[in-house]
Amino acid sequence: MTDAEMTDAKMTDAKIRLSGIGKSFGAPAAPVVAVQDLSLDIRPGEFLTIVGPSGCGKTTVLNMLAGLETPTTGTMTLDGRPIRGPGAERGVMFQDYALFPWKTVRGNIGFGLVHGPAGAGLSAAEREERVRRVIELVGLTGSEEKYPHQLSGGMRQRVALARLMANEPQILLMDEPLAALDAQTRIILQDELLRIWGQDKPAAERRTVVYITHSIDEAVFLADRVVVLSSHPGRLKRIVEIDLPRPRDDATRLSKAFADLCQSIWQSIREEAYRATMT
Amino acid sequence: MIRAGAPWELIRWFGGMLIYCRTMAVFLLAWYLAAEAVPNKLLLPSPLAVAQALRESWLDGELTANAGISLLRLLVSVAAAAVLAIPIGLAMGRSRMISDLLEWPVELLRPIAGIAWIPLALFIFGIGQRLPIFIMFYTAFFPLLLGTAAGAQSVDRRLIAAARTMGLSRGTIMRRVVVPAALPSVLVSLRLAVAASWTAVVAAELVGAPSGLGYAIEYYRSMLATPTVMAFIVVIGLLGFLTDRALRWLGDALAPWARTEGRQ
Ligand SMILES: Nc1ncnc2c1ncn2[C@@H]1O[C@H](COP(=O)(O)OP(=O)(O)OP(=O)(O)O)[C@@H](O)[C@H]1O
Ligand SMILES: [Mg+2]
Repeated sequence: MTDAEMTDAKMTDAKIRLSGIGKSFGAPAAPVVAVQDLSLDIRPGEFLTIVGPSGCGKTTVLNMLAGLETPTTGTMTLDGRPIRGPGAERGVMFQDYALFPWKTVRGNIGFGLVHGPAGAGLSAAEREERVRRVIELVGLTGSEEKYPHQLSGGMRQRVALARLMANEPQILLMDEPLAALDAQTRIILQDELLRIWGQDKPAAERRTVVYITHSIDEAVFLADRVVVLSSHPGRLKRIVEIDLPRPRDDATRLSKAFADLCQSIWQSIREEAYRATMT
Repeated sequence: MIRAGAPWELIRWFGGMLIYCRTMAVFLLAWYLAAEAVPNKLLLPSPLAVAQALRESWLDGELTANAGISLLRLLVSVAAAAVLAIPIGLAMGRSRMISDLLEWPVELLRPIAGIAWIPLALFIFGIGQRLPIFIMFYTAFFPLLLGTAAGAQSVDRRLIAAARTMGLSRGTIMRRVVVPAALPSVLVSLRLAVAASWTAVVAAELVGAPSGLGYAIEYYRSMLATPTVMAFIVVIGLLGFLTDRALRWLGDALAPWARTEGRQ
């Protein structure tokens, strides 16, 4: 194989490829560097989680993947084509939910199906059925007609999660999707997420997930690989392959291998986490 | 939940009415005493005389006819202003270019009171329907335009971002995100527009129309029938109050999420 063929092969290997991505905010004279020189291949069907101290640029990376922010440097490709803007194949769950205040729970969850391409080819009945199913999945049955301002923080987060799931995008970009939930609900939804992602299916049929979290054990439990970012500026610190067997379940959470991986990741970010907290 | 609150709502409403009635009683009493104190009945008619005049013009249908025509003018002119101002306002709020383009003309015209155009409008339209409608349209236009533009401009960026990631087109985002997000501020500006327009109706009809509440006031003034003049003034106040209430109710019905958000 020639070099060119090698790169071609690699190209097709990556679902999303980030090469030398950097992002600065503010005036060019005094820029705030949020992300610096980030290169990363996200494999098709991969569950990739990103951890790192607060303010290290995780949301910024996700926004760039979503096409909502343009990188200041570097290139980003999806299936080999440059990412130029948002697209329905990349669904996003925002850290602050971004629910439509004038829509009820049901209206928010069905929004993309009714007004976007996600619902194309579905009959009204099929859409309704899908909305009903995800509402049930996230445990919001009975609150369908409430408005976002009538919900608790955890309920809002579940609406945002359900809205993403209802659209069934090929790629899921999720920013701390379970952070506002209590421990039990979080564990239940982690299991559900793995099911929706396709952990029981062959790798080729799985969706691609980029998942930001503050919780190291959540990152390890869900991921094929954990990306550890360091802060100021946000840089790639470490990528950890998580070779825990799938399907994962409660036994995984109790295993020694799981604990060791969590410990190892914690070691690599503790120093910075302390620094971020103290200052 | 709403049912369970109903008795309390009723009690609260009743309590509110009591306070309201007491305030009105004090006001009417003060008016009555003042009228007694002023020797010239032409200057300040007593509330009793005004009530009597009100009853008479109600009975001979004059009141309803004039109030009806004024309200109709209000409706037509505000509707026309809304049809024009809301789309332009949305465009101004969402497009830098359009707002730059329109900023100067709007800023120059806005401070001119609608009634300042009456003399000129008399030349152009003459006395009739068109003059008061034009003045009221002008008065309603700017609050609606600026309220809509401000509402469209301050739409939460994250909501637009969310819609974009769901693959919505620009046009759909406009209709499904910008318009509903701006709706509460459009509705508030509609109330302002109607109030301003209603204030202008009297001035416009006073000189420019052969009918309506303003015309009636001017007519009875020339007849020196001050109780009837007062009666029509009371009607103007009452109708202004009622239209505002109706609009508030309409706003709550059209944007229920904004109501509970704003008044918690
Ligand atoms: N629009 C913006 N303008 C200016 N600075 C920004 C902007 N967005 C992010 N930043 C800065 O970029 C850095 C990274 O922010 P980002 O939101 O990506 O962090 P994060 O890792 O998601 O943090 P958290 O875990 O608290 O959500 C921060 O220093 C932040 O202040
Ligand atoms: Mg963040």
